Amino acid sequence: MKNAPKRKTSDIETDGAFSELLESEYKGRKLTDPINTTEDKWNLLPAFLKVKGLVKQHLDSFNYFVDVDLKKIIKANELVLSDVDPEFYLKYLDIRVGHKSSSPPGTKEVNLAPHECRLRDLTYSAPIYVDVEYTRGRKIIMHKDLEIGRMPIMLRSNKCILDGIDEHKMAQYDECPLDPGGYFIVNGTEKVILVQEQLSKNRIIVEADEKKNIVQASVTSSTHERKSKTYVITKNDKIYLKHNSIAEDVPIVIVLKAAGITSDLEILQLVCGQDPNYQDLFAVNFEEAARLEVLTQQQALNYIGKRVKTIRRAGAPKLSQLQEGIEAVATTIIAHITVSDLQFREKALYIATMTRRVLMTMHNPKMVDDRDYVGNKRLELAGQLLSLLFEDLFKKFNSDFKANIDKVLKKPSRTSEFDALLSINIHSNNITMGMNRAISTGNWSLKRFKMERAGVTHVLSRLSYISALGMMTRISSQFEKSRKVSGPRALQPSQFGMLCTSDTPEGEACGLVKNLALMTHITTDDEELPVKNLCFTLGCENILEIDSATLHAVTNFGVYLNGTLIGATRFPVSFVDRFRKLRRSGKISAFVSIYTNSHHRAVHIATDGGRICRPLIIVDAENKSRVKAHHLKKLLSNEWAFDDFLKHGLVEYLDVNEENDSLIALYEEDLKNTHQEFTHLEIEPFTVLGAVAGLIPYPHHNQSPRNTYQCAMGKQAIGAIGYNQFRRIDTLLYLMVYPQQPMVKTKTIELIDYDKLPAGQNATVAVMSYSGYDIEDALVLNKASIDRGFGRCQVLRKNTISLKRYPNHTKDIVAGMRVDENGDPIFSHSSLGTDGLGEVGMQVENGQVYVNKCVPTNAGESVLGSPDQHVQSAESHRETPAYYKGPEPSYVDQVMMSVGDNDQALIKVLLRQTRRPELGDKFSSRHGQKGVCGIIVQQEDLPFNDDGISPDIIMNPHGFPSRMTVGKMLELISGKAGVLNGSLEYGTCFGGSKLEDMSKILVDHGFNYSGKDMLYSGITGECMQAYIFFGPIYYQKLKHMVLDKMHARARGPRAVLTRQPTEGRSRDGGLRLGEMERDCVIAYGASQLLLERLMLSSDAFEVDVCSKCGLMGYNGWCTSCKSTDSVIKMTIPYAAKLLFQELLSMNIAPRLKLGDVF
Amino acid sequence: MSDRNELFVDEEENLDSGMVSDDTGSFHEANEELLDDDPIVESISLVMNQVPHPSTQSLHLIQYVGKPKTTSLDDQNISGSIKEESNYLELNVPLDTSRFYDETRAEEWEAQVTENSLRGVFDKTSGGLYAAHFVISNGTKKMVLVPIDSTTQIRSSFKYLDEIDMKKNSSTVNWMEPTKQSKMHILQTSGKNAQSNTSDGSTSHALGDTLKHVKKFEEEDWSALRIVEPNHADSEQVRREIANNADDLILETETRMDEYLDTLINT
Repeated sequence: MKNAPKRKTSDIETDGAFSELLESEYKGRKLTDPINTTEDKWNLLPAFLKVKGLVKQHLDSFNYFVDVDLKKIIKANELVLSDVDPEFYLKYLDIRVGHKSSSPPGTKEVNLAPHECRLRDLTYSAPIYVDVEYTRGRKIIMHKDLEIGRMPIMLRSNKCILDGIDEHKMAQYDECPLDPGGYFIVNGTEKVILVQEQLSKNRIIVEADEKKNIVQASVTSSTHERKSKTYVITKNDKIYLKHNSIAEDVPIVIVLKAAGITSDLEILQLVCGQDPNYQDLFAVNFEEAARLEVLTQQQALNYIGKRVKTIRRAGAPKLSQLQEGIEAVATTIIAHITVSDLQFREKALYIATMTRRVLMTMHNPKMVDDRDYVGNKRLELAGQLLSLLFEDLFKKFNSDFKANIDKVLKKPSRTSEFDALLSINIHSNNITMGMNRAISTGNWSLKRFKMERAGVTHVLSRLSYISALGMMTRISSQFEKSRKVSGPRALQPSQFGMLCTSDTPEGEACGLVKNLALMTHITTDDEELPVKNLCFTLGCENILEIDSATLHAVTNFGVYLNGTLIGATRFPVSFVDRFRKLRRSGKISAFVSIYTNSHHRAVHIATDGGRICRPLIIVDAENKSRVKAHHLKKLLSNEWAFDDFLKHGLVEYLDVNEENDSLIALYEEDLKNTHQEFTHLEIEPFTVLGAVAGLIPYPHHNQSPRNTYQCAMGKQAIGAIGYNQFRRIDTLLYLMVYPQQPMVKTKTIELIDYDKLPAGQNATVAVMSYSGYDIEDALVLNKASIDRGFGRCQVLRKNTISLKRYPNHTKDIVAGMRVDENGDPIFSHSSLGTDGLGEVGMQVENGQVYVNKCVPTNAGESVLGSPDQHVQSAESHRETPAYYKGPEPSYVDQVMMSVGDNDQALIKVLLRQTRRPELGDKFSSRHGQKGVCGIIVQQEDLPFNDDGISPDIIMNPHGFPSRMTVGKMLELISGKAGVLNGSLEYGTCFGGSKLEDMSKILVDHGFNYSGKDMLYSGITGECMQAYIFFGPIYYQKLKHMVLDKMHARARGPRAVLTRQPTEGRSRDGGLRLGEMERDCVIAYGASQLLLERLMLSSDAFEVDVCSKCGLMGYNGWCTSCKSTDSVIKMTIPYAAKLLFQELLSMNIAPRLKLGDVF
Repeated sequence: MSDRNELFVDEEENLDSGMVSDDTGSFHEANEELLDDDPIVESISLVMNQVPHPSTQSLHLIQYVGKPKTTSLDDQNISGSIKEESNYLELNVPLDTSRFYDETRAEEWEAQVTENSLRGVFDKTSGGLYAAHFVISNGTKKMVLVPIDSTTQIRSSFKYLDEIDMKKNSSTVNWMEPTKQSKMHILQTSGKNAQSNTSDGSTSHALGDTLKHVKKFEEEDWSALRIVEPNHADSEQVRREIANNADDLILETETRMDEYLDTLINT
C-alpha cells in the first residue's frame, strides 16, 4: 500500500473503530482530491457505520431496555400492597442499572472487567438499584439505591465499561478494539441473543384459502398483560368473529352491536362504506343477527357473555352474563385496544376495519396480505426479550416479597416495628439467577405470553472474526424447519437492501435464517401519543368526532397509527407530504414511517420497534440528489457526521413499507431520466449484501449459489480472531500463524476491518492440471510454500479442572510430580512442574498428565462421625490426573489458576498444537470453491514462469466451467495487476477495479492482458503447451483438518449393554458397516464376510443352547430340561441373545431349532 | 360540567363544518408556503371567545348519528339527562308514530314506544377543536371561535327492547338479581382478588377497568338536563354573548408552526 493511513494519537472519546475512515487521508485519497458526488457518496457508509456500527441494533435495543423499558416496567408494577395491613405500601420510584443515585455521572459499576469474567467463568453484570418509598409503622420512609439483583451487561452497551473508550484503554482491559460487542458473558461463556423474526403484532393480516373459500383477518394482540389472537373469518359467506376464549364463532353483526353500533345502517356504513359490491356481500350477515333476535347492545353483550369460556380462579367474583359480555368485548377481544370510560367506539371501528378487509378480499381475492413480506415482519432483539423476562421476574419478585410481608404482618404482636426492606434482599437472587439461567440455557419460558422458546441464545462463535461478526447480524425465524412450504424460505423482493441476499445456510434452515445487510437499522419503540396529536394537527379528523357515514367516503383516506385507525383525512397526499417534511426537519423521530396504501385507501404510520429500515439519499422534485459535493466535503473534513445529514434533511431512513411508496434510483445517472420522478437515491448499491457476503470480490460476476457457499465457508476460515487472541482461553481456538489481508479487497472488507483481522493468505495459483492428484477439486500444494508458513495454523484447546471442596471439610488438591529412582520424573509426569501443573512450554504427549489432581479418599464420610479432628489433617488422597489424549503431542500454552463463582479453585490449561497443511486439509477461495489438499509437491517439480515464480497452489481448470465463478478469474487478474503495480485492488460488488484497467497494468508490466503466463515444466524443463492462467488468489484454510478427523480401530472399547463396539471417534469407536453396505455384501453373496463384519468383529457371543427345548442354558446345563444331554455350544450375536432374554421376560419363549451347518 | 348545559342541538351541522375549515385554516396561516397552489380568496378575521360563564357553562358537540334527514329536531319536546361522573348523556326524542310505526308489533310486545332514547359518551377533546360562529356586524365579517370541551355521538339505545327482555325474564327469574349480587361480590372480593395475584405470580384482573366503569355508571344517578329551544331567550342571549362579548381581539398567530410542533412533540 502506497499511502498507509497515519494514525493520530487517539484522543477520540467515542467509538474509535471507524475513526480511521474519517481521517483526512485515507486509503490513498486525500481531502484535497476533487469530490465527485457520484463516486464519493459511498463515504456516507463509513459515517453511518461509525454511528451505527454493525451490531448497533443489539446495543440500541439493550440500551433502550435498560434506560427506558425498565422504567416503564417499574411504573407498571410500582405498588406492592399487603392484604393484611391496608396501611402498608411499598412504591418503586426509580430504577437504575450500574450506578447509584449518588454516583457521579458516567459511573459504570460492573463486577469485573469483561475479560476477567471470561477467564474466571463469571457473569459480567451490574447491580440493579431501585428507589423505594414504603411505610414502617406510621412513618413513610424513602430508601434509595436498594439492590434488587444483578443484570447481565451487554458488552459495549452504555452500561459497559468498554463503551466509548479508546484503543489504548481497550488494550488495558485485554479487549480487542475491533470486537463488536453486543453479546453477554454468562458464566464465562460469550452468549448472543440472536435476532428473532416474527409476524408483526397488533396488525391485521388477511389471508385466504381459495380452495375452501375461506377468508380470514387475524390480529395478534400483544399487551404487557397478555397475548391473544382474534380472527374475523368467513363461513358459508357469512362473517364471524373467532377468539380462543369464546366457545363458538359469533356473528360479526352481533359483535359490532355489542361494541355499541346498534344501528344496522351504521354497521353497513362502517363496514361497507358506499360501495354497493361490499354492501351486497355483507347484507346476509344482518339476517343472522335478526334471526337470533339480537337487536340491542345489551342483547348482544348477553349473547357473547353466554359463550365466553371462563376460567374462574378461586376467590374471583362470579360475573353475570352481561358482565362477562362486557369484559369479553372490552378486554378479551382485540386486547391491545383499550376501552376507557365505556367508549367502545375505537374497538368497534377496529372490528369493523377487520370486517371490511375481509369483505374487500371476498370481493377481490388479490387483496390478501403476504405473510412473508418483510414489511409485515418485526425483528425482536435482545432488549425486547430481556424486557419480557425481566418483567416476569420482577412480578414474581414482588409477589414473593408480598407473601413474605403478609406472613410477618399477620402475626398480631410483634416486638419491633416491621421493616419491609429486611426481607426484600432474600429474593434478590431470583432476579439475578433468572436472568443468568435464561441467557445461559437459551430457554425463554414466560407463562404470561404462553411463550416457550428454546435456543434463543447461542454461544458466540469465535472461529474467526468474521464468524463472530456473522453471528451478530444473524436473524433466526420462528418458523418450523420441518414444514414443507417454500414461501418463508424464498428470497423476497422486499428484502432488497434490508437483508443480505446471499448469506443464508444451505439445508434445512435455508432461507429461514437470514442476515442483515450492511446498512440496516432496526427501530426501537417510539412514543405513539405525540405522533397521534401531530396527525390531528395536520388535518386528520379523529374517529371519535367523524361520523360513520363519512368515514369510508370515497374522498377519505383512513389514517392508521401502528395498525389502529385513528382518523381520516381528505387530503392524503398533502398529509403525508407534511408529515415527511416534519420528519426530515427532525421534529419527529427519523424512524417513524409513513406511507399511503391506495388499495386500502389508507395512510399508515408506524412507530413501533423491530422494523428494519435503511438510510437513503433524498431526491428533490427536480430529480436532483440533495447530497451535494460540499456536503461530502464537510463529511470528509470531520465537520459533519452522519446524523447531520439526517438533521439537514439530506438523508432519511425508510422502512420496507415506506420504500414501497418511493422510487429509488440505483445510480446518480439514473436521475437524468426525467420521465420518472425519483424520490430517493441509493447510497451505495453494494449495501444489498451483508458483512459476510461483502468479503467476496466481484460477487456480481459469480453464479449466485457460489456466493451463498462462500458465506457459509467464510465463517469456517481460520484466521485472526482479535487483538487479544493470545490472552483468551477458549474451549477451542483456531489461529492462523501468518494471516494476510487480501490483495483484492472490497469496501466492505475495509468497513468491517477484515483487513486488520484477516482469515486467509494470498496464494499464487496456477490453473492447470498436474499429476492426477487434483481430481474432484483437490489442490496441489507447494511444499516450499508450506515450509515458509502457508496455511500454517495453531489449535488451542482449553482443559478445565476444578478443585472441589466437600462437606466434610476435605478438598481436592494438586499433587506434585512423581519421580523414578534416578530422581527424574516418570514418563506420564514429565511435563509437570513441581506444583503438579503442566509447565508452560512443555510438550505433552498421549498419556501424559498436565494436571495431577487428587481427590480425598474419604470425601463422603461425615465430619461428625470422627471424634478426632486430627484425623482430618492426615486425610489421604487418590490421584485422578488429567491425561492428554491425542495422536499428536501438544504444548502447554497457558496455565491459569483462579477462584470461580462458588469459591472453588479453577484451573485452566491451554494446550497448543501448530499444524502444517497436510493431505486432506480443506481450503477454499472466496468464491465457494472448496477443495482438499491432494498432494504436496516439491517446489523443484512445480512449473515456473520466466521470473522463476512457481505456484503455491495448482488448481484444476475443471473447477471453472460448471461453477461459473467468473469473479474468481477477475480476482486473479486484479490481484496480479495489484502485485505488479504495488497496490491493493478492489473487487467491490457492482464496482471495484475495472478489468480493462487491470489488463492495462498487466500489459504495461510485460504480461499478457488475460493473466496467462508461459510456464516451464518443473520436471522436464520444457515450456508448457498452453499458456497458464497464473496469479494470486486469496485462499482460506477451513477448520476441517485431517488430524481432527482421522480415525482407525482394530480392537477397542465396547458398549456395556450390547457388547458392540462404541460409536464415534471421540470414544475410539468402530467403523460401522451400515445397512447399505450390508446390502451390497448380501448382493455380492459374500456371506462369510458378512458373518465376520456383523458378528465376529462385533458382538460374537458363545451360548449354550439346548437342542431339545431350544432355550438357552449355561455351563453346558439346560435349566428347563434339567440336563446336560443335548446342550450345544454355538456363537450368536450378543444382541440376539439379549433379544431372546427380553422376550422371555415378556413370557414369550423363543426356541432355537438347530440344524447342521452344511 | 354545569347543570345549565346549553345545548345547541340545531347548530350541529354548522359546528361540524366550522371545525374542519378552522383546522385547515390555522394551518394555512402558519405554513403558507406549503399550500402555494391554493390562492387566498378572502381574509376573515378570527376572534377567540369562550362561553360567557366558563365556571358554570361548557360547550359540547353532539352528533346525532343516524338522524333521519326528514326528521327535524326543532320544536320537539326533547328531554335529557346526564351522568356526569361517567360522562354519559341520554336524550329522549319523541318518536314519530305516524309513519313506519308497527302497531301490531307494539301490541305484541305490550309496550308503547313513544320515545327514541339516544345515548352517548362524552370524549374530552385535547384542545384544537372549536365551534365557529360566523358573524356579520356592521358589514365586517368575523369568525368567533369557542373551544369545545368534549364531543359525543349519540345513538339509539333501543332501551324499550331491553325493558321488554327484562320484563320477560323477570317473570321467571328476577333479572336484576344477578347483577346486584355480583355487585356485592365485587366489593367483597377485591381483597381476595389481590390474594390470587400472589398465588400464581401474575396479575389477574378479575374485575377489569371497564367493569369498574360499568359499576360506577350503574351506581350513579341520572341528573336531568334542561333543554333550551334554539330560539328561546336564553339561548339567544348566549349566542349574542358569544358573538359580541369577545374583546374583538383579532387573533394573529405568534407561535410559528415549528414552535407549536416542538411543544406538541416534546410534551
